[in-house]
Amino acid sequence: MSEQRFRLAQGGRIDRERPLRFTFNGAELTGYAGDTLASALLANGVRLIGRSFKYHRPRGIFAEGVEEPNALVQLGQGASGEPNARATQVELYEGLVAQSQNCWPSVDFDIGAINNRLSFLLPAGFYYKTFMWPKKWWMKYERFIRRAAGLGRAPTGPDPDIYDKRFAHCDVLVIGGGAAGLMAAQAAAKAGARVIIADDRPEPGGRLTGTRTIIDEAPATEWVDRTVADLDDAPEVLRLQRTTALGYYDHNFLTLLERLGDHLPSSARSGDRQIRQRLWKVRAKQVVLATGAHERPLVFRNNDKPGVMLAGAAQAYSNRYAVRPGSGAAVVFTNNDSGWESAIDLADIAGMRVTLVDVRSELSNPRRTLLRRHGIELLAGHAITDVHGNKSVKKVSVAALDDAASGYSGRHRKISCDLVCSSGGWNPAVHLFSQSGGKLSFDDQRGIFIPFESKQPQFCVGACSGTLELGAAILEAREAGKAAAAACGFKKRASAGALPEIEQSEQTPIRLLWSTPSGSGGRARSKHFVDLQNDVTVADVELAAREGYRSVEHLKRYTTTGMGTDQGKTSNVNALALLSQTLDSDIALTGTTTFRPPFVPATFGALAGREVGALSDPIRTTPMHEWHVEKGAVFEDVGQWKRPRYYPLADESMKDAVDRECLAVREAVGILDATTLGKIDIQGRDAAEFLERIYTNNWKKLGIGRGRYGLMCTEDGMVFDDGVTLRLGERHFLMHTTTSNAARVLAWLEEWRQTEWPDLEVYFTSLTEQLATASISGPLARPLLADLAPDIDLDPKAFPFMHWREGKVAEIPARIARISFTGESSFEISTPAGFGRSLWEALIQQGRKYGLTPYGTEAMHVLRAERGFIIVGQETDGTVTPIDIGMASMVSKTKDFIGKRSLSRTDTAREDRKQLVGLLTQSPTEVLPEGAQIVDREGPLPMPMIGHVSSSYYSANLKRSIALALVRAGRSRHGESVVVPLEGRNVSALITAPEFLDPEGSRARS
Amino acid sequence: MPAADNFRYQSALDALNLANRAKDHTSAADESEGDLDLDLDRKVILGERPPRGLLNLRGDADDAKFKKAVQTVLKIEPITEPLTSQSKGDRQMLWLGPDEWLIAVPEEKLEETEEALRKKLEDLPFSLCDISHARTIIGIGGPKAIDVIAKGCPLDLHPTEFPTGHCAQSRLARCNILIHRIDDDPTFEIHVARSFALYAWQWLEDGAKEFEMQILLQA
Repeated sequence: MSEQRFRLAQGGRIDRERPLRFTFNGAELTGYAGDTLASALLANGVRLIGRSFKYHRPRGIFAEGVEEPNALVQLGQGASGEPNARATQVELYEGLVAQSQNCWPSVDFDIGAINNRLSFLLPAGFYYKTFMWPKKWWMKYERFIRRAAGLGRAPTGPDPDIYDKRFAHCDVLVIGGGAAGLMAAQAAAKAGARVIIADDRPEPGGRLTGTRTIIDEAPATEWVDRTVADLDDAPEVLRLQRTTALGYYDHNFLTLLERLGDHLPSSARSGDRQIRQRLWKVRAKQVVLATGAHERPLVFRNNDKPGVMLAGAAQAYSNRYAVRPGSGAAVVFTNNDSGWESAIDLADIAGMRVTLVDVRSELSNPRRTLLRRHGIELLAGHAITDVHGNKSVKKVSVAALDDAASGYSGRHRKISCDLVCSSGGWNPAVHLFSQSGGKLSFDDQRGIFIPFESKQPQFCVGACSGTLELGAAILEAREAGKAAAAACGFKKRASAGALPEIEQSEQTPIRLLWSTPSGSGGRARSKHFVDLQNDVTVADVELAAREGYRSVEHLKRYTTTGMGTDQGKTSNVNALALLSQTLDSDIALTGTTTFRPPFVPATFGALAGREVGALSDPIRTTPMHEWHVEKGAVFEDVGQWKRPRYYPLADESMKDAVDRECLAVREAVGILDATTLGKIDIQGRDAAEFLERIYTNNWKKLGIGRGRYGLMCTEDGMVFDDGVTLRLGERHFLMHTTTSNAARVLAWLEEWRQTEWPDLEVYFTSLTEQLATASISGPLARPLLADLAPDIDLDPKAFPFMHWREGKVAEIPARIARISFTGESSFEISTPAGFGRSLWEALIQQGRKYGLTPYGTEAMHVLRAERGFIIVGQETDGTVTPIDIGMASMVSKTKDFIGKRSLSRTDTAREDRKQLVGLLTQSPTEVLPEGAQIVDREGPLPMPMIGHVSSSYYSANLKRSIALALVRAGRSRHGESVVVPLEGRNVSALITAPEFLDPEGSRARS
Repeated sequence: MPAADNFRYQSALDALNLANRAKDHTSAADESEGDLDLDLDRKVILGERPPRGLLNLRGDADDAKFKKAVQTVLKIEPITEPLTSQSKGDRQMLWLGPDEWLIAVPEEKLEETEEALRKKLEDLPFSLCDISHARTIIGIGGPKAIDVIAKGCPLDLHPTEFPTGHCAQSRLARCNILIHRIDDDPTFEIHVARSFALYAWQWLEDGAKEFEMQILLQA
């Protein structure tokens, strides 16, 4: 175990009492609680973290926060492994295991690094240019490209972690827990608003914990602690740490990702209570964005080597984690004042020998004196011309810039160092603002995009609105917090407290420099990296511009700049500034690429939340479900319902069981759980009139106590649903729908009544859930029912087919309808759902002596097919009219109904449409596959298809296979032979009428 | 419909054997008496609420005759204030929509209430349906109840937005619910269609795992 050679003796926000062991590339290392993986690696002197995507160049830690482009590691192993974790965002925990990515056999010796030597062969758009032709080689190319793509390894097993999602609401949502965010939250909370403040770090304070800022004449962290304590005491404030805003959608709807378990050792993550991550779906009346800014690197030759880092990051490692980011000498390269602050902290806190290379030459004397006081050498008007060293920085070359910053003057000087920091200014983190639809404007002086016009009720405060100066940011945040609360109706004039006091310092304006010049006249800047993650260089941007990619969106896709896990947080502005420079156009006109959610990569687990496994979708069950389970039923999914498909006995195969069930219904009696059918209660004076308009047939004259089969069409005349509707009273009907269409039909009825026929007095109520239904079917159904319902006259004359009666069955209140889907004499018995199982069991018990056989949906399908009854969604597919399925007699010629007009269109009125027919294969044992195509005769390919098989079964009753099919002009072709081409063979079949059994329907009526 | 002797009402949650689980929880709680392990601020109580007579009423709230008829029978006028409910004696009315209400009465009074309403409303535009068996009512209460419900329900259930007596039709994860806040504890009644009841219960129980969950026979 190594000691932490680069850990400073004191300071930092780490807990030195809690050392943590971890492993990186097999080496056992230690860090402290409060470290990130990045800070712990730096503390141990680990500089080489991974290899770059395209050229496999050695890379180290570049940033300190969410913007990290380089330090991506593979965390953990197997099912809980995670690729592409940003080392800067991974909190250290006991037993953490991490590995380098994109290298083989090791990060130190990586064979893929050959790409670096060949980089001149791999310019921007390499894949587009190279793999264009020949076309049929694409399959070969793709395999190669796929292997080259991607960085980490996806986990291999099901995710063992628990994820959660929740909704939340508040008056004011503050994103960011830095100085501005805390201030805004406090102001809004003081006014009485419900506040949620989300901050992506483990502890609040933002950049204040990474600098030596003074507030109220004390370290700023004291002010942070006071403000946080204040927020935590407020009853209506919810403070979420380790929570990153991912997306900002319409109507102030935001998604936040809270990491609850990622920082815990794996031993604390197991069990069924510890949630790993929670996705918050927040609706806020007002949003305050205090998302801060990301430091922008300067672009210079070989600016990607391990040891090159953002200046603010190096400063934060020193202050926040007490880590010296280099061994002795550092060169800080800057074009703005914040580089100075970093340089001073590196000298004072990390005790490094610092050379400050500032591209600005006009710097005041007091400021120069300040640097000297800290022992820092200043090279004003200079730039870094190159970085030397292979797997880590050894030296840099610097030279004086000429006035136009287009070349160098004087001697190049080499400085030994192993840390190179750069600061090119701070880009406001406008990602969420931009996602919310806000418009950005470009500040030419400072070279930054700032929020310009909001589209949603929101405020941008502090660095993310371009207010980089702390005092101004805090003032702006407090005003925004108050205003946001006021906009929610909280106008309480609470004492907002005195504004914290912040010392002002002298400032020198930034000198924009998007890339250092190439050095030796016009050489391509092919090692000046703009996008570190995607290996995009200044030369690539220039090449893209030369090749005509003038739009920044095209530039992005052509060079891949701004893509990947960091989405160009450190590279986008530089890239588009360089593009506009090359095109000699305005940055404001070039514009930015679109910012899209998520702000940082999110796990699929968090997006899925609890909706996995058994809870991935509701399973709907009937009151008789447990009985079916006890009897070993095999279930079928029908929509969300579980329906018994068949009930196998002992060793029965599916075919055996279905055959037995089918025979029982035709020869004795069977029982089916028909609870899932949709039931809609229809009441009102105009109920009959309404049905006339919805169904294709007539309803007004249907007598009370009777039922009728109906077909409904959509406006285009196609069959939409079918079922039997009972007339319960003069103004009262009960409609049955198919199982899977129940909700759709109810919505359909409501839509027509509310939007087209508001004058009709009719109401709908779903009764699907209220009633349990058992259907008994077969020649012995009547005697069975007679035993249990002695008070009801079941004589066919007293209780004919398609009539219903009310009464008691086994003493249970019930409605009995003589509806038959099997073609046998049937009774559908409905009872309030809570009595469903009692009814079912009473029937089963009494049915023993009649050989009552429970049958499932499979037998039901066979039985109805024997009679030629259709199933909506099987024989129909949205292109089938009532006439196509032979139900012309059900289509009223006299009244109007939905879809009627469409039935006389040229296409729907054609004689040669696909029509429902029966199909009998030559071999009685051949069961055609459903969906099989039908052709006229065998012949050369392609054979014109004339129809398809819609239903196909073996019928035990008919002792042969049967099928229903839709065949062009089929009704006029009964008796003709057709061919069904299957894989490797052709099956010939005979077209028949679709009714295979009892075509007159006398059995159902008996 | 009251149950006769030879058949019984079966809850959609019967398969969960909640009575036994409630007993376990009670005895576990007794044993741990004085044990401060149970964090009361993190408590969630779950249970099935007793069945009751439920009628779905639809009609025209602007029709004076309709209003009067309903008022005469229930002593409650059709509610016009959205998302609210009213109680009178053992009767309760929940607003479901501008022309739709849920009436809850004790099981034994269902038939008489239904008949009385039908008689008074006879010549008016209306619809009345017994949906007593169509619903399972899950009670969920305790300091963390809202946090559990919020995992699947997009409504703002904060007491200022959704005070006691408020009710709303919404969703819980992937099923439709009617949610009704019945006291300040807070306790909520969640009405869920019978066939979705097992799913809804299991979903709530899963969501409550991170808290101190307790099952009561009648939460």
